[in-house]
Amino acid sequence: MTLTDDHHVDPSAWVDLHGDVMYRYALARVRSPETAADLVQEAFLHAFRCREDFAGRSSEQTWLIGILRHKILDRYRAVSRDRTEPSGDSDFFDDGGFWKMGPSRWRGDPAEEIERREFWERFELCRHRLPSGLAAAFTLRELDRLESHAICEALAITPANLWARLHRARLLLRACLEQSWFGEDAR
Amino acid sequence: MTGRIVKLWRLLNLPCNEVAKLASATLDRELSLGERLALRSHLVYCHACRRYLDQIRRLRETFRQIALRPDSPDDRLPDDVRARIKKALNDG
Repeated sequence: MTLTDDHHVDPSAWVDLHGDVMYRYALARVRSPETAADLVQEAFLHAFRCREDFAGRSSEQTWLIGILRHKILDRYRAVSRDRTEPSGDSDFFDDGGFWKMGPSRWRGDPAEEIERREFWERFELCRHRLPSGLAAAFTLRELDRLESHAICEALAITPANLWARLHRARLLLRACLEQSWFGEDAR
Repeated sequence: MTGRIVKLWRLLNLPCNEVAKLASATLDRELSLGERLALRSHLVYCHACRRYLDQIRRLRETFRQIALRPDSPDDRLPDDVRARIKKALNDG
């Protein structure tokens, strides 16, 4: 641990010890390496300013990740405010509510494809193409596995709005992966 | 009574766009009895919606597996960022 009893801390040691883990944590949750780097910096600066608040009940890394997590949630809240309602589903369904182009039979099984780096790079590309407000809700639900009420509280949205965002995100993500990987004409 | 019959008929004949919402909802919350009935009855005859539900379930599992995968050695804090953060901390 680099935080001593008198709260003296070597910032360089912090970054060397925990920087990579924090960067990967942020990168998995935000759109770009630049944003991830900014969030990690914000988290370190916040932690340094509040180092006296570290009571030692958790590990140093857990504490830092907790701060980073709040910074990420702040970012999610900001982008969620920009989009109050997801767009409609007319991209996928006609006026009668029928599929314009129904889901096709997929080549390959996602469970087997995850071993291939190309696949999860494409998966991440599709995920990062989601509009910001949808991506935030989807990441909190599927990566952090938060329950609906916790996500609603974090993003300050209603349950109905959350479920609409998740639905839209799944429609888009599935379609993107079908087009770019699993479909007959993909790859 | 007629109203209930109409309501039931509508429930059993939801279009695909409404059923897709229910399919997604199964991943996030418990459906009501009416919703479960609507979803199951539609899936009996609609292969497109059956396929959709299957695929979004599989994608959920896939995403969770990706989240558990070992960290890539490429996912390191870039050196220039590392230096920038250290400088910011030392200046602060």
